[in-house]
Formats: sequence, C-alpha cells, structure tokens
Amino acid sequence: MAGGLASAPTGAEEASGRVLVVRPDGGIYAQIAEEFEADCRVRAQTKLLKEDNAADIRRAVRSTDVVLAVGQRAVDALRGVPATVVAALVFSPPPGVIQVDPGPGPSYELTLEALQRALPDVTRVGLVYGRETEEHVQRFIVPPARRLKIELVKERVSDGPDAVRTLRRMAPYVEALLLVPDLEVMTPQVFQYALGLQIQRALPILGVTRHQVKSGAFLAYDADPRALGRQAAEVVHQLLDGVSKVELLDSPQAVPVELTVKGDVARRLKANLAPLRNLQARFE
Amino acid sequence: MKPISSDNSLPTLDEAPRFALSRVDSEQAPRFTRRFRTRIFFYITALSLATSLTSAGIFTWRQTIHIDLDRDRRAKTLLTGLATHADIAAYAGDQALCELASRTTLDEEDVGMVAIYDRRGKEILERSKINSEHPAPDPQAMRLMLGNPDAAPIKIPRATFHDLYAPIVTFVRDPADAMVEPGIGSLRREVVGVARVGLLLEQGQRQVIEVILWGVYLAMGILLLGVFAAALISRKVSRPVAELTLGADLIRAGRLDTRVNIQSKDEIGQLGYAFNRMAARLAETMAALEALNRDLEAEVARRTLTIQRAAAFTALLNAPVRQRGSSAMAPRMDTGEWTVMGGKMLPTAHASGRASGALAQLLDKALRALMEGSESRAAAILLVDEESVEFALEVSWCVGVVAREIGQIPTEDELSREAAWYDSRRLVVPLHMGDELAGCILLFRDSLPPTDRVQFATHAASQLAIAVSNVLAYAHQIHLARELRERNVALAKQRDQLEEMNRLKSEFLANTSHELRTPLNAIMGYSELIADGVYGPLTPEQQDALTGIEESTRNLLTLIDNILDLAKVESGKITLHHDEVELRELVRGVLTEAAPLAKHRPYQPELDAPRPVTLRTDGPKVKQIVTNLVSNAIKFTPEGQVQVAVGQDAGGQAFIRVRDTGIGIRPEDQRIIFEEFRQVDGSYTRTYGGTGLGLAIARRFAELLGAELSVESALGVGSTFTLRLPKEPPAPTTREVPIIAGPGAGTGPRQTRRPITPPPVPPLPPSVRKPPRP
Repeated sequence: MAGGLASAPTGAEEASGRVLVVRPDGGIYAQIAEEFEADCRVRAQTKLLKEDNAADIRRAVRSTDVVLAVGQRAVDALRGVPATVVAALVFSPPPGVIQVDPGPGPSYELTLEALQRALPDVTRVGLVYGRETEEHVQRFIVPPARRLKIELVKERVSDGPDAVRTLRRMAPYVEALLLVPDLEVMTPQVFQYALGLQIQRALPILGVTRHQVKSGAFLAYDADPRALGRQAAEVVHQLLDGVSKVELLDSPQAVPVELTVKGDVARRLKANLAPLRNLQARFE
Repeated sequence: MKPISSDNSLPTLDEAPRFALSRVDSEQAPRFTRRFRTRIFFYITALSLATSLTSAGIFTWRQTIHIDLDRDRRAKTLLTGLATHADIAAYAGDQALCELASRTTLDEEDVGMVAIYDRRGKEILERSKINSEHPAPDPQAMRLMLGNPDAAPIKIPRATFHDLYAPIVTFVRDPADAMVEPGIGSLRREVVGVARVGLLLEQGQRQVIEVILWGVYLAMGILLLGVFAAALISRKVSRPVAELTLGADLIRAGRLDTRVNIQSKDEIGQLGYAFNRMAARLAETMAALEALNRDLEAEVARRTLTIQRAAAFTALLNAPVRQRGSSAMAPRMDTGEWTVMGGKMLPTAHASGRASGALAQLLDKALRALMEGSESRAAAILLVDEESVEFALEVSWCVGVVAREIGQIPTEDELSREAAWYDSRRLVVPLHMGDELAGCILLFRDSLPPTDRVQFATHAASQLAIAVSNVLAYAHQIHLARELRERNVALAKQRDQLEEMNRLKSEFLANTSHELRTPLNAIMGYSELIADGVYGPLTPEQQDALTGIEESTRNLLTLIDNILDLAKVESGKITLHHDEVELRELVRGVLTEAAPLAKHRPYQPELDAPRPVTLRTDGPKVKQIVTNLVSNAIKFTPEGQVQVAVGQDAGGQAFIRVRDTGIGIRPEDQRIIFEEFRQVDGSYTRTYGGTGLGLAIARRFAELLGAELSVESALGVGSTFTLRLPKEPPAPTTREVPIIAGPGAGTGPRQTRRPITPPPVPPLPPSVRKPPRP
C-alpha cells in the first residue's frame, strides 16, 4: 500500500487520500477517533468493529490508502490486510503496523521513580509476565529498576490462573506489584486479585493505564487519549504527504504521558503525595 | 308485679333449679339432671380446647414451613457467598485461595462440609465436619452446574444434611479492553468451578422441636384462658336463665303475678322483659278464657236445649210414618183445596181447607211442638195443593192470609232464597219438598225471635216437609197397591177365559180334521177304482176329471195331515222313538220318493253324501223334515238345481243341507216362513200351492229332536236349509210342547193336551182295497 501512496493521485479524492478509521465501540476509542477526525485534513470514514463485521471491514480496507486502527481488537482484526495501518492504544502491535505511541515501555521508568518518591521504603517490586512481554520486561523494566536500586521479583507465568497462583506465592515477599500489559496474563481476574492484595497486604499496584488507576490501582503513566488522536492525525498526514512507512516505523512517535494517582489508595498506603504533585499527577 | 329477688318466700337463684326439679318431680315430669351453667362451661371449654389445638397446629405448621424456608434461604445464601468468594480461587485452581475463601462458610455451625471443584470438576478443596458420611459429588449435579453459568443451585437431600451445589461463575472479557476501560467491550459469564456445601439438618430439627414445644405452650395458654372465660361466661349467662326458669315454674304453678328482675340491656334483658309481658298477657288471657268458658257453657246449654227440642220434634214427626199400613192413616186427597191446620189459631177464616187421617194427626202434633219449641203464642202450617197449576199466585195468596196481618207480603223468591223471614212478631219459614215450595210455617211471637228459635223453626220446617212428603207418598203408595190388586184379579179372569177358548179351538180343529180325513180317503180310493176302470171304461174327459179329483183330494189330504201333525204338536203329546239311523240312506229314500215331484222339472235332485253318517235319532221325524225341505226346494225351483248334502262338520255334528237355485226368499221374509199358515207371499200359494204348514211342522219336529233348522237365502239366487242334528238325542220321553200362540198366550200357564186319536176309517170292499197314494 505504500506503493499506492507513492503513486500520483488522479483526482481530488486521490489527491487528498482515502482514510478509514476502524475502532470498537467504547468511550475511549471514540475519544481517540473523534480527536483524529478533528485534526485529520481529509475526511475519514469510520467503521465500528463488531463481532460479525470483520469481513466487511477487510473488504472496505482494500480501497483505502490509510487505516487507523484504534485499540488492540481493531489491530487484530486488520491483521494481514494489504493496507498501511496506523495503530493507537495498542499493547501488542503486530509487525508492520505504525504505532502512534511508543507504548508503556518508556513509562516504566517514570512509574518506578514515582513509586520511589511516594513510598521511599519500597525496594522490592513483584512482577509476573508472559511469553509476549518477556523481552519487553528485559528491555524496559529491568534496566531502570536496577538504576533505581529496586529489586525486581519477577516470574514468568503461562496464563491468568498461573499468574494468580504466582502472585499469591509472591505476595509475602514483595512490597509492590508492577503490572505489565501482557494480554495472555493480565486478565481481569488477575487484576482483581492484585487489587485484593493491595487491600489485604497494602501492596501498591503500579498499573499501565489511567483506567486501571480508576479501578483501584495506585498509580500509572500513560498517554492522553486525545493526544493519541492528534498524533495519529499527524502520522496520517505524514503518510499522505509521502513519508514512507518504513521511515515512520523506524522513528517512534513521541507522545507526552501523564501520571494518574488514586488518591484514597495513596492515603491508605500512607504515600507521600507532595512529590507526586510535583510530577503533575492527576488524582482520581 | 313481684320481682323474684324481692320475694322472701321464694327460693334464691342458687336454690332455684333444685326447687324447680322438686316441683317437676312431684308432677311426674321427666328428670332434668343437667345444669345449663355446666353445659355452657363445657361448651366454651371444648371450644377453647379446639381453638388451642387448632392454633397450636397452625402455629407449628407455619413455623415448620418458615424453618424450612429459612434453611433453604440460608443454604442459598451460604452457597452463593461461597461461590462468589471462591471465584478467583476456582479460576486459579489454587487450594490455598480456596481454603481462604471457604473458611468463613465452614465456620458456620450448620455447615458440615465445604468443597470446591475446578472447571473440569476436579476437586480443589474439600473440608468436612461430618465423620459418618462423605459422599462423592453427585455426577448429574456436577454436569448441570458446569454446563450452565445460569444454573440455579441444587439441593440433594441426604440422611443427615442437604447436599447443595452452585456454579462458580466469573466474567470474561477482552484483556486489552479491560486495561483501557473496564466498561467497554463484550462481557460473558463463564463457569470456573462448582461450590458445594453440606448443610446439616440437626439444627433445623432442633428448631422444629423447639417450635413444637412452643406450640404446646401456646395451646395450654389458650386452653387456660378458655377455661377461665368459660367459668366466667357460664356464671354470667346462666344466672338470668335460672331466674327465668324459676319464674316460668312459678307461673306454671299458678302464680301468674310472678315477674323476673333482669336488668341487663342485651338479649337476655329483652327476654326477661318479654317474659314479664308474657306473664301479664297470660294473666289477662286466663281471665278472658274463664269469662269465655262461662259464656260457652251457657251457649252449649242453650244449644243443647234447642237440639233436644229438634230431636223431639223429629221423633214426633217420625211417629206416624212408623204406623204405615193402618187403614185409618190413609188421607183423603180428593179435596183439591188449600189445607190449613190449626185454622182456629189464625185470625182469618180464609184458610178453610182441612186435612184428614194421618196427615191431620201429623200436622196437629207438629203445630203443638212448633209452638212449644219456638215459644210462640200461635202457629199455622200452610200447604200448597199438589194439583194446583197456579203455584206462585196461590203461595202469595196463602202467605197473604197471614201477611195481611203483618203488613208485608213476602214473594215466592224471598221465601225460596231465605231460610226464614220474620219481623218483630211474626216468623215465616218456607217448607220445601225437594226443589219445590210446598208451603210455609207461620209463628206468632210477642217479640223478635232469637237466633236459636229461628234455627229451630228452620230445622222443624225441613223435618216437617220430609214428614209430610212421606205421609203423602205413603198414601199414594197404598192407593197404587189397591189398584194393582184389582187389575190383577181382572187379568186372571180374562186369562182363564182365553185359555179355555183356545183349548176348545184345538180340540175342534183336531176332531174336524180327523173327520174330514176319513171321507177323503174313501173319495181317493173310489176315484182310483174308477180311474182303473173297475166300474167300466172312461172317456178321456172322464179321465181328466178323475185326475183333477185325485189331485184335489191329495192336496186336501195333505193339508189335513199337516193340520193333524200340527194339532199333535200343539196338543203336547208327541212320542219320539230313537234308533240308529243312517242319514245318507234316509235322504236317498226321500229323494226317491220325491222323484215324481220333479218329473216335470228339467233336473233331478242330487245327493252329495261321500260317506255314511249314522247317529241315534227319530228317523221318521227326520225323514218328514227332509221330505218337507226337498218338496219345497223342488216346488220353488222351476229350473236349475236341487242338491241335498249329508255330512258332519268339524265338531262331529251331523247335518243335512238342502240347497236349491230357486226363487229365493227376501231377508225380511226369512223369519216368518217357519210360522204356521205363512207363506212369503199369498201369490205363492196360488202359483205353487201348499198350505204354509210344512216349514212350521219341520221347525217343531226339529225342536223336538233337539236339532236346529236354519235358512240362508237370497232373492232370485236360491235357498239353503240346514238341519243340524245333535250328537246324542234328548231323553226318549213324551215332550210337552206349548200350545200355538194366540190371544192371551204367554200370560197364563202352559197347558198340555191329550193326543188326538183319529177316528176309524170305514173299510173298503176287499175287491177295491188299495192304499191311497201319498
């Protein structure tokens, strides 16, 4: 499809490009799409992803120059389509997909620093991960933890139930739990069990998204959804302007991230809130 | 009015029943051994007992149901709580987490066992406090729970606990969606295990026993309250009843001034008030009854006197009737005038008629009795003459005799409608005989007649009418009897004269016939001698003349023979000689003898007798009957056929039937042909000859033989005469036959005649002696 983009446009529509937005139904996905449509200079067509219209969407993609996939399910549905796919709010992007944000990798360091500032006594952080995120952990979590002198108690697990059992065994020996966005491991039950440990054992839960904080986790760093939409529009503009897909794949996009803190959890954990405020944290 | 409670002489209420019983016992009344108060007490106690038992039963039943419902509800709560707490543990399949999740449930006193199974049904945890029973999970329940996240909990009753199952359900959704926004994306329920709880029954059973105990306490409490209420109510209710009972007993004993003192404002008080009113009314009624009884006794005495007078009057009127038969009682009914008895009592002399005999005696006695019974100073009886044709006018006149004295004339209608018509001094009572007005009774009084006197007069009028009617009827009957006797005497005298005349006629007829026969025989004999040429040859004219003489003589002889036969029959002495007779041969002989009669006919009589018929009878008589029938048949059948049949019918009765195709007989004439000297038409005699005696003699002979002679005929078609002979002949005796019907026949006694003996015939000269032809 990149070739398609390189060829000269034949008409007005060809000149402006054909853009399709594919997203699931839901507030945060709609927020990103709306922001994208507001910033995108071409009129984008939006298709809601449902359980039974994946084939229709894949047919629609054939006559499209750029597809914006919002969310992990949209990316998974477009897996293998012959089009240039730009993804936003994706935790496990397939190869060849231009990701709008760099993902939670760079944010782990900020998360551990915020933990250290809020709870300086915490030096041992537990972590479970799966096969998909093993490299991710080694690349984005282990180095900053080492630098911050935080001992990581990490264990690879096979699935959600294994993660629960591991967390149950791990809980007595750690002082905080760091969650990774492994889709095979981080099931709602695991998150629910982790929240239980936070209550029972006062183990701070370091989440991945602001919505996890909203559900009860102590804190998390992530990008603002509207910023993601705007960044997606920028990437689409670049593609429509002739920037090659490879070039965009090699240069990760820079999207600002924000710290979100659960206020009542922080008070129950007796966390030091002043440093968090200095970090421009948003309190839920 | 004396209240019971204020009368010191009366027993107290506590003594009242005993008092009443003693009084009742003294009057042989049934014994009342039960007390009203006791009965009320027992009734209310029984009601309380029933109420307590019912309440306790309902209480126990409802509480038992509540215990069961509570146990089920608690089991559901425990099971749901366990399934909810153990969702993560079951999801992880972690025994420690399951232990933790089930600890609270297992700590419950009535929970004997807790188990958690994973999504494949494999046991993760089982903890039990039951030592005696560790049943394996029910496979069917496990399949049902694992296969349906919405399955309802299941209860399987065991001996000592309820085995409860519920699915452990968790929510499954996309992990990415869950991370970015929990509320979006699809959500589904998934079974991750099964929670099982064993709920012990012991505690529930203890609760049931406790409920039963409380039910017993409740029943006893209600019963005690009921007994207390029964004692209280029975005492309160029975007191006024006892007072009423005592009051009623006193009233029955004659104390009608007794009153009860019940002050309550309810129905009992109303009953007491009604009782007092009833007692007062009873006293008034008793007084009124006594007065009425006195009046009734006086009325009964007065009515008795009236009835006695009426009975005496009736007996008086009946007296003459019992004397019927006396010649002195026959009234004279030939005056045709108004008959007035007691005329001396009337102020006018217009009623001058006078009865006589028994009627006069009757009316005289009736007048005296009427004056005495009605307490009148004068009386009159007016009777209407039965032969009068101006009835209404004469009644008015009759009444007017007295009515002029009273200034008013009652009409006939008034007399017919009213039972009695009277004013202040006069009483007029009509006399009815059946539906007719026969007269009236006049009574003169000094004052208005009382009702009983009017009733007496009315009754007397009806009795008097009957008596007068009886006397008149009796007189009429006597008159009729006398007239009948006189007529009977005259009729007897006339009958004797007729019988004597008839006897003389029969004797004359028999003697005359016999005297005629003798010279006729002589004439026939000499005529035959002349015809045979004994006295010289004859010219043809002489021969024809002789032939005519011979035929006329024969006819005359036949007539005389018939008259003789008839005379024999009528004289009453016919001798029958029964013998064995073969009818076919008899009839054949008759036909042979009758053959000359048919010599000028185009036919000969035929015999139809397929078999001989033999019976015992008088053969000559039968032969004479058949000869008559055959002769008639040939005589009245100029051409055609004459047939004689002999045989027996289905009943074995012999018959001889003579059938011809002659002139026939009209139906109206068939009943007279058997009468003497009768032929159907006088012209027959002129045409066919004959005396008209043949069939009469045949019928008489048939009757002598006990046979039946009948005829069937149609005019112009022919006739059939049938003689039916009896199987057995009547007894061989001389029979008496009635004389020929004549004037006076049937009214006098039957007479028998001596057989007429014919006079001797003078002998012929030997040279010319020859029997005459039949």
